[in-house]
Amino acid sequence: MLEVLGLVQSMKNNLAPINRIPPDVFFRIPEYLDGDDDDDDQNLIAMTHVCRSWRELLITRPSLWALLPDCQNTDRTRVYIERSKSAPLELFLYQHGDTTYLEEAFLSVVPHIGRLKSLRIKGDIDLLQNLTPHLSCPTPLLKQLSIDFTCDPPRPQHHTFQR
Amino acid sequence: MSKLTSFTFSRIPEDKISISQLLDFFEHAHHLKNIALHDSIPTLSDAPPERVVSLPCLETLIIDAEAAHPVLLNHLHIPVGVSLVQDFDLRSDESSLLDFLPKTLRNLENVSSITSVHLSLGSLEKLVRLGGQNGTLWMSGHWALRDLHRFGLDLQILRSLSCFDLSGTKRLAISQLTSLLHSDEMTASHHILSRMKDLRILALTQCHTNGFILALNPDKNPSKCVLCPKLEKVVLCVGRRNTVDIEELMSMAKERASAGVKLSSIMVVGLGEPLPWKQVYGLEGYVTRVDCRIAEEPPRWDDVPGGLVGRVVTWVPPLVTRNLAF
Repeated sequence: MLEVLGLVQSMKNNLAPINRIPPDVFFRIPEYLDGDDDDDDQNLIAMTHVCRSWRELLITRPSLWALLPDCQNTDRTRVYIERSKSAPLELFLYQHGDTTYLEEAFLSVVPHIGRLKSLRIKGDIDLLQNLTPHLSCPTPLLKQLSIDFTCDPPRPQHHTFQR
Repeated sequence: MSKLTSFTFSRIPEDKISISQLLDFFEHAHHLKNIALHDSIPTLSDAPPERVVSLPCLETLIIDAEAAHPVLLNHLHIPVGVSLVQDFDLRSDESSLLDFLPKTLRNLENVSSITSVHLSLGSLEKLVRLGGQNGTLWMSGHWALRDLHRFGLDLQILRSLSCFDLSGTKRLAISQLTSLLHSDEMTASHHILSRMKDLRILALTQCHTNGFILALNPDKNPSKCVLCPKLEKVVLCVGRRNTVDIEELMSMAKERASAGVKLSSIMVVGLGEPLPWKQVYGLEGYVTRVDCRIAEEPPRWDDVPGGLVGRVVTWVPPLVTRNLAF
C-alpha cells in the first residue's frame, strides 16, 4: 500500500508545473540558488532531496558534480567524485586544522588524477610533500594548478595593484 | 601538464625547491599563461647561468617574495605582452629597483618599449609602473622597518630608472616625492628628463619638490639646454602639506617659451583647498592654456596623467578703471 501511495505521489509530483520545465533550464537552477559560495555544494545536495525525479535528474548529470568547493567533508568529496563519472574535475582541497580531511580527500582523488582540470590544494608542508608526488602521473586535462603550503605566520600579502 | 595554463605556488620553504626544479617544471608546461609565485623562490640558483627558459604563452607573472626575484628572473625569457608584477620588501636605504631585476634586461622583452612611467614614493611603499606597447612591469616595494621616511630610497629608485630605455616615454607621473637633497634632486630629475626626449605629459602629485620644474627650465638646469622639447602639458596636484612655487613654474614656462618650446597647457589642481589662483593664472602669458581646478582626492597614482580631475576654478581679473585723459 505504501509503495502504491509513493508511486501516486511521484506521479503527482511529475505533473507539478516546475517539473514541466525543460531539462536544460532545470540544470541551470543550481547556479542561481541563494547562499554564499561556500554553500553551493550544500544547495546542490539539498536539491537532490526534493523529490525522486529531481534526484534522478541531478545525480545523472556528471557535470554538476565535477566542481567541488572547499567542503571539508570526506564523504561528500567521494560522492562528488563518484557522481562526476568521467567529467573533468575542478577541486578545492584545503586543510583547516588537522590533516585528516585533506589526506583522505586527496587519496580519493588519486585514481581520478587523469581527469583533473583544476586543482587548488592548501595544507601542511609535510602532508603536501607526501601527496604532491601523485601529480607526476599524466594529467592531460589539467589547466589550473595552485599549491599553497601553509606556514605560520604567513608573510602579509599587500595586493597593491588593481590590474 | 601540457595543457596547464595557470600555476600558483605559495609559501614553499626555501630548502624544499630549487631553481632547476622550477625551470624544469616551466619547460614542461609551455602553455602557461599565468604564473604566481608567493614566497616560493630559493635565494640561490643551482642552475647554470646560461640556462634561460622561454615562456612563449605567458601573459602574467607575479612574484611576491622578500627578495630573490632576480635569482629566478635571470633564467626566464619574458616575451612581449606580459604583465610582470613584483612585490618585495625594502630593507635598506641603498635598495634599488635593480636589486629585483635580472642581470640583463634583454630577458624582459615586455619592457623593451616604455611609453609611460608612474611612480608613487610614499613613506611606507614605493610603487613603480612601467608600461608600453610591449607589456608592463609593476614593482611594489614595502618599507619593512616602518620608521622614518628614507629619502635615499627615493633617490635610488629614480636613479635605477636609468637602466631602462626611456627614449620613447611620453608620460611621466610621480606621486609623493618629498624633498631630496637639493643637488641630488636636481641631478636625478635632470638625468631622468634628459633621457625622456619624447615626453609629452609630466604629472606631479603631492610632491614636495621643485627638482623637475627646475630641470625643465633651460635657464636653471645644469646643462643649460632644453630638456623634453616635445613636452606639452604639466599637471601639478598640490595638497595641504605641499606648496607650488609659482615663481619657479612661471620662470620655467617663460624660459621654455623663449626657447621656442612653449608649453600648451599647465593644469594646477588644489587638493581640498584653494591655491593662489590669481598668481597661477599669471602663467597665461607663457602657456597656451592654464587650467585651475579643485579636487577632493588626488588621482590614482597609476592613472593616465593629464586627464580631467576636480572642478574648474575660474578667476576673473578685476575690472581696471582707467582715467581717460581727454
